Amino acid sequence: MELRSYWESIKIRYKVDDFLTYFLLAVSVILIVGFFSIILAIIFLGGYEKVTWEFLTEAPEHGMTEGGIFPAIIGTVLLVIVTTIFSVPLGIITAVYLVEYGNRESAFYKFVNGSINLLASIPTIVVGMFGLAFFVVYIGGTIDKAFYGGNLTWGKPALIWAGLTMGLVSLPVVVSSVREALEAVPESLKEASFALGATKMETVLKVILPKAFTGVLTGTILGVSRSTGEVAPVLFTGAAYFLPYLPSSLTDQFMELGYHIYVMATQSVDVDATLPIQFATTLVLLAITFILNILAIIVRRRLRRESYV
Amino acid sequence: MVKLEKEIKEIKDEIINESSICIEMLHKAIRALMTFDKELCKQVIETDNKVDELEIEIENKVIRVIALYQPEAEMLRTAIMAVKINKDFERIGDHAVNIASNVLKSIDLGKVEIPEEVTKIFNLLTVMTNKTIRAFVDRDSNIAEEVISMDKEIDNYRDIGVRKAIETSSNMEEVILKLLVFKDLERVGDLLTNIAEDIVYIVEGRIIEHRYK
Amino acid sequence: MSSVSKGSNKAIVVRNLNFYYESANALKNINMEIEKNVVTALIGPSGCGKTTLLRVFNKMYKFVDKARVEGEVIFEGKNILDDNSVDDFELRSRVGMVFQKPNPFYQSIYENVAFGPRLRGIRKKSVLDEIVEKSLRAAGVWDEVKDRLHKPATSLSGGQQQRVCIARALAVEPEVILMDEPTSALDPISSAKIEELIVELSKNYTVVIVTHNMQQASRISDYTGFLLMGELVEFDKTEKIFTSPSDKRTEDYITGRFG
Repeated sequence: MELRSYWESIKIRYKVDDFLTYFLLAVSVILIVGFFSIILAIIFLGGYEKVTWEFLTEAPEHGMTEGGIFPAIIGTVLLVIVTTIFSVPLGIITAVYLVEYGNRESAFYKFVNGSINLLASIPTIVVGMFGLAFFVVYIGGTIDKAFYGGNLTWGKPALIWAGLTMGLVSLPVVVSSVREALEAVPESLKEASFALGATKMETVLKVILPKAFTGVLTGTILGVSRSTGEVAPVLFTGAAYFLPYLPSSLTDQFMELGYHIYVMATQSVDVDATLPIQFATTLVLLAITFILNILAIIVRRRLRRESYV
Repeated sequence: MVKLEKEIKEIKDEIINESSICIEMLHKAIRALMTFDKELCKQVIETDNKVDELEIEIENKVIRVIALYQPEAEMLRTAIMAVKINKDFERIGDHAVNIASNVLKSIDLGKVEIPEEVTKIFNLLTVMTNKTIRAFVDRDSNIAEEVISMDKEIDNYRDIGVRKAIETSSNMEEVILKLLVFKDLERVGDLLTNIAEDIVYIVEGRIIEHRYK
Repeated sequence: MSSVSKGSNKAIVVRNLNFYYESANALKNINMEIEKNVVTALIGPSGCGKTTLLRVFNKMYKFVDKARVEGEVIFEGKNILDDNSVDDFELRSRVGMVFQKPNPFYQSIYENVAFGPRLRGIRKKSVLDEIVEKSLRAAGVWDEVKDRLHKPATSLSGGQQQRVCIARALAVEPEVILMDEPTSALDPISSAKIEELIVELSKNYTVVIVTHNMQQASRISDYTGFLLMGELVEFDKTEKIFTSPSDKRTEDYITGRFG
């Protein structure tokens, strides 16, 4: 009798275990995939009709109730380029310092490391405000006084200031990724390089960075991807709702996808007319983000396979 | 691997060298017996030093090879048997020296008639030695087995020779000399048989010692 | 202790070498003479200091914080421990190193071997081509890789990678090659090939090899040094060490009583 109930309880325990596993699995899947799908579906259904070739290549008309988002796409691209030029080299150098050169006990190291971490956690709107106050007003204003006799050339919202501000946001992402890639380089590779007589710098340039190249590239793409998604940093520093011309110099303002969506949703004259366009623009922005992230994954996989053949 | 093989080969070469020296000694000793040549006897006795040196050298080489290379299988058997074969050839040399010494002692007897059995045995021994070396070099256990069967013939000739010696010799000294010579020659045959058995072991890993007793 | 005679056929002479890591005395008063163009093995239980000693010969200890060195190591007439008289770059051109785990760079085979010569300013393709071929031949791996020189070095098997690493070290034409347990990460067949290579290399180079495998030391080395807890207990011809060592500690180690 005793034996039987014991045996039964084992059976039950396994059954309960199986049930719980499936249950938790189901909940996670439903929550994550479900919400994700719902969001995607809403956006997709709301906007796919509007996403035509003309939409992507024409300028907006009639207060954004008609036309396309071409300038916004261009503006976003230009923003990304400036951001990348600013944040990627600086990010790589910082990461190299933190991993290869820095003395981890020193105050300076701790300061740099701490700053990067802090920067990563500052709300982007605060970064945007900082950008306005520091880059636009202070630096821009100073340049104007010094070289343009007070004429408002640099001291206003501009592509360059927006790029720098956005750069601050993507910098920690780049540093983090590159750092991880550098730390993954085996010590033995560096030893081999030293044993052949290379200096530290030569080792970094010729051995470590090539090996960490995948990680560096991934970091770049992730940093870039982040900068397409954020709006707050460019809110005050360079984005404009409607411009009749495309930006042609660093001092120009520009249209930007994220900002565009924000303004359309909150301040547009005829909300109902612009609603489909809002969805469409959102869809385009999402698509770009997806493509960039998938690109990062493909690159990472491809390069990894090549090294481990 | 290469080093080990090279050193095993060196050991084998030295054994072959040693064997030829010892057989040469035996040859001289028999001739000395036939011709009662004092000089030849002295030569045989002197050569013995060389053989002793060679024996020690080979032994040291084997220890070195085992310590450094931990040989296995046939190379291990070769190394270990090399020590035994080495010793046996050295003993063959000793028997040659015995014969030479005995001749020297009996030099006053003057010319003695040497029974033909001595010659016959010696010829057999020569053939046996050549075959043994051949078997060692070619790693041929069949030839080795041939050597082992030839030893019986030697025993026969020896028995005949000893009877004749007792019947036909003119004095005691002569008899003793002939008996001793036959003893030494018979022992050489046994030693060659041992060596042949060791060669069979090297080649086949089969122990056939004490089979024919 | 040393039955090695003096003469100008010594590649490296070590005198009263002491090595400190923080406050620990990792190498105690080492005196040793390494002969040219032979294989010298350093054996001993884990932590005895054999790798530490090896890395003194190309000053790799400089990359370790808190490492301090005293004494003399004479190579090509100069004390290499004296930073003023010997330049690290020069030293590492004359003393090469091969590591335990094959560690080719994540570049092509060609680039790996050409790395050293390139660092030394050799740019001309024809010269580099020649050096690469010569080194790969000397490492016994040319035939296997000559048709895939520009493929990644990491696509080779472990044994081939290690031989490429050896070629890489040979490319700068050193006098001395240091090897830190070069076969311990390899399978038996690859190990055997590398052992043959080491014996072959010793005709033209001085080889110092650290190994935890005593049988390897007895197979391929001409001289052996036994280290125990930072001390050089015995240093002599390999045959002597393995047939009749002078020190009981050596005998205990060799017969497997410890370590």
